[in-house]
Amino acid sequence: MLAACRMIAVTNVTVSYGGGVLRKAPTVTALDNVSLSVKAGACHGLVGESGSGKTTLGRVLLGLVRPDRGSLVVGGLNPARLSRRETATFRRSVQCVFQDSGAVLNPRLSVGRSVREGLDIHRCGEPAERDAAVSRLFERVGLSQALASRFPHQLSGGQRQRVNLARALSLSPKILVADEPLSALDVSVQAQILDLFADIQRQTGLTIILITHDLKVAREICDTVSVLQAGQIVEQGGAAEVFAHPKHRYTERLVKSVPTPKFC
Amino acid sequence: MALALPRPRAPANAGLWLAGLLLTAIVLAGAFAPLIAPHEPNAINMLSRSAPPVWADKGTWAHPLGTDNLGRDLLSRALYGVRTSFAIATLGLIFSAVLGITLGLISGLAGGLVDRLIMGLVDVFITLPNLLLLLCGIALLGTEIWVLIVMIGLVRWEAYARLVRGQVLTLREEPFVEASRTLGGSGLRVALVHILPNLASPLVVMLTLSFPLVLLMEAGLSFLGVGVQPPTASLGRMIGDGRDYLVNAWWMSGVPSLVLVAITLLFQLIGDGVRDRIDVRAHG
Amino acid sequence: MVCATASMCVPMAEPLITARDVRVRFRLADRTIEAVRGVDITLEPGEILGIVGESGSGKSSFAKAFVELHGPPFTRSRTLINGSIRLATDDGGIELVGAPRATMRRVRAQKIAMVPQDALSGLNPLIPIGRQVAEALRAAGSSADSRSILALLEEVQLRGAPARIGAFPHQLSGGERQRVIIAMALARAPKLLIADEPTTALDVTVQAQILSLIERLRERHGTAVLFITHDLDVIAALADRTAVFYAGELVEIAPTRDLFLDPRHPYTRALLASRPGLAKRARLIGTAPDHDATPPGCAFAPRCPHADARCTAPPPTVPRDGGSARCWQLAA
Repeated sequence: MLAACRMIAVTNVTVSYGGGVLRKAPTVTALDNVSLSVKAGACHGLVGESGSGKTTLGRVLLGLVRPDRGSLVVGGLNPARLSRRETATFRRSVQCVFQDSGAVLNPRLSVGRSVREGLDIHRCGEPAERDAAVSRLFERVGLSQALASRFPHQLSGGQRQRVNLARALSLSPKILVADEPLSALDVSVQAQILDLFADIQRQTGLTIILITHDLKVAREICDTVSVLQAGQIVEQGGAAEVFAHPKHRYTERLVKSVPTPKFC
Repeated sequence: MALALPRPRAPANAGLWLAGLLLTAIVLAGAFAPLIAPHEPNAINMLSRSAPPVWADKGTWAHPLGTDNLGRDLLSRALYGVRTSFAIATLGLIFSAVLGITLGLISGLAGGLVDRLIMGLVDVFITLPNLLLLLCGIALLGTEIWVLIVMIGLVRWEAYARLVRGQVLTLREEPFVEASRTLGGSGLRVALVHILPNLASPLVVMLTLSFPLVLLMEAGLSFLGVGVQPPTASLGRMIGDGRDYLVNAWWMSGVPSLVLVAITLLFQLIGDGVRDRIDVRAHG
Repeated sequence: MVCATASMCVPMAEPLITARDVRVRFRLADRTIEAVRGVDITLEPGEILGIVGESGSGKSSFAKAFVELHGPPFTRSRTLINGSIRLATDDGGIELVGAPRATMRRVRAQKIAMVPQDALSGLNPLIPIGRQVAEALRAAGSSADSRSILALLEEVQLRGAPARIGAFPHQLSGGERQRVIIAMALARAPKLLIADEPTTALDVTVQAQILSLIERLRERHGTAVLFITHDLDVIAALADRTAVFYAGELVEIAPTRDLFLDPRHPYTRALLASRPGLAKRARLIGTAPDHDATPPGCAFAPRCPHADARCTAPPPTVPRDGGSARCWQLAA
C-alpha cells in the first residue's frame, strides 16, 4: 500500500547534456544520481540556485527530458517509456506552470482559446460544453470571464499566470509542476498567486512540485523540500525542519544568505 | 499593465492607404483592360506611327500616351502589359511560395536527413546564377507563359524555404509550443495551431517585398526577348521594343518604364508599411 | 547602536540631493504618460536610501531622472522631466533638471554612477574588463595605470583579479560582472551611487556578497546610495531610510526600522503584510492602476480597505517620526 500513496518516485536518475557523436563536446551532468519520493496530495519544493539542476528535474518529471539512467514513476507511469495510450493519460495527469507567464501563451491565440486547447486536444465533452468549462476555470482562478477574448499581451503578469494555472487545471491533473511561478511577479501579486495555489491544493488534493529559489516561498507552502546543488540533492526533509535546522553546509549557506533586517 | 511603447516609426497611415489605393487602381485598370482600353492593343495603324503623348508638341487625345513605331496605342498596350506582367508575376510568386513554404516546413519540422537534403538543394539554388538558370530553362522548354511561371518559381523558392525553416526552428523552441506539447498536443496540431499563424507575418512581409522583384524578373526576360513573345504586350517587352527609338520617340520605352517604376515603388512602400504594422503585439 | 539615519549622524550638513516636485513624463506615439507624479525627496551624504515599489511605480524612472538615463525607446526628446533636483557640490551645487549636455556628462563621469540590473548590458562584450575599468578611470580624470585598475578590481573582491584583467565579460559569472560594474562606478569616486535592482538577477548567496560589498563601500568612501528594488527583505537588510513608491508617487518615507515596525500608510502596511513566509499573511487585492488610468486624488484608494469620501482629493503629506506619509486617514 505504500506504493499506492506515492505519487512520484524517482530513483537514482542521472541526466547529462552534450557529448556529441561526431564532435567531441564536454558532457555536462545536470542531474547526478537523484532520488525523490513525493506522497499524493503533498507539495514538494525543489530549492536551489541557478545551475543546480532543479529545472531539469522538473522537466524530467514532465517527460520533456529523458534520463540517461535511473527509474522513474510519475502518477503511476514512466514518462520515459510510454505507449501511445499511456501518453494521453500521462499528458492529462501531469501539468505545468512556468516562470515566464507571457512566453508560454501563444501570442496569436486569445487566452480563452489557450485555456480551451487542452480540452480540444483530449476531446473533453461537446465543443459547446468546453466554453462553459473555460468559463468555470476562469472563475476558479479569479479571472473575469470578459478577459477570455483578450490576447496575452493585453493582460498583466499576474493575470497571465492565472490563465496558465487555469490551463494547467483544465484537464484535472493529479500532479502540477510549477517552475518559479512567482519570480516575475510583484510582491502583492505573488501573495495573491501563492494563496491561489494553496486554495487549489486544498480543494483538489493536487500533488504540487514547486521549483523555486526563494526559501521563504518554499517554507510557506511546501510540506517537504529537496535542496539541490550542482545536480545533486544535498538535503531532503520537512520544509520547516530543513530551513530551521539545516544539516548540510550548503543549505546552511543558503539560509544565511537570505537578507535579514538590520534592526533585528 | 503592458506599457505600449512608441513604435520606432510613426504609423504612416495616410501614406499606406494612398499607396494601397493607387496600386489597387493600377491592378483594376490592368484587370479590366479589355473594357477600358481605348484601342485594340495589337492594332497596327501605319498612319499614326510614333505619335507623341498628348502633352508634347503635336500630341492628340486620340492617343493620350502616344503610339509606338507600328502605330499601336501605348495607353492600351500599357494596360494590357500590366495585365500580362501581373498575371505572370502573381502565378510565379504563388508557385515559388507554395513550393518554398512546404519544403521549409518539412525541413524545419522533420530535421535529420530530410532537413539536410532540402537545405543542400537550397544551397545549390543559391549558388546558381538566377539569370543563367532562367535562360537554360527557357532554352530547354520554350517560351510559353507557363514555362516562365515555373522558372520564376524555381528561382525564388529557396528564399521562402530558408525563411520558413529558420522561423520553424525558432518557434519550435518557444515555451508556448512546449506548453502545448505538455498538454498532449500532436505534432500536426503544433504545426497548424502554433507555428503556421506565427509564420504569417514574416511571410506576408516577404511576399509583398518580393513581388516587385518577380515583376522585374519577368520584365528583364521579356526585355531580352526570351520572355513574353510578340505581339502580346508586356511591360518589359514594350521597354525592349522602344530601345532603338529612344532618341526620336522616348515615350515608347518611357511610358512602360514609368509604369514599372511606379508599381515597384508602391509595392516597396506597402511592404514597409505592412512590416511596421502587422505584429499583433505592437497594438494595445 | 546602528546609525538608523544618516541625518542623525551628520545633523546640520546640507543634503547631497534635494529633489522637489519631480515629474517624469514619456511621450508615446499617441499620448503622454506620467511615470513620476511629483516626488519630494532629500538624500544625505553617505546615506543608503532604499526605494521600494512594484513594477510601474515609477521608482526606476525617478532615479534615472537624476542622470537623464532613461533607456530606449525613451530617448531624450521623448522624456520630459520637470521639477528640481539639486546636487550639492563643493562649489555651490548643480541643478540636474534641464542641465546642459556637457554638465550632465561631467555629472555622470564624476559625481553620480549607475549600477544597472543586468550587468551584461552595462559592459561592452568585445572589450576586456580591465580596459573598461581604465576607461572609467580616464573619464573621471584619474590616471589609468594597471596598478589603479588592479586596486579597484581588488577592492570589489573580484577573485583572481590580476589574472583576469584581460578577461571578457562573458567569461565572468553574473556576480563577478556586477563587481566589475561597481569597480567602474568606484573609479569615478562618485558622491552618489544609483543601484537599480542590482541583485535581482543574482542567486541569493551572490546577492548577499554584493549587498555586503555595497555596505562596505559606503563605509570606506562615504558614498551615498540610492538603492532601488522590489525586494522588501533586501531593503530591510541594507537601507538607512526607505521610500515607498506607488503609481508614480512617494506614499511614505521613514527610517527603515520605523517603516517596517510601524508602517503608517495603508499601502505600506499591505505591502509588508503580503510578503511570503509570514505567519499571518494578508492579501492585497487588485493591481496597481495603469499609467493612463490613475484615479484622481489618492491613487491607492480603489484598493484601500480604509478609503472614504475624502480620498477622491489629493491626500495631505502627514509628518511621522523621521519621515512622512501621504494619506487622509493619518490627517485626522
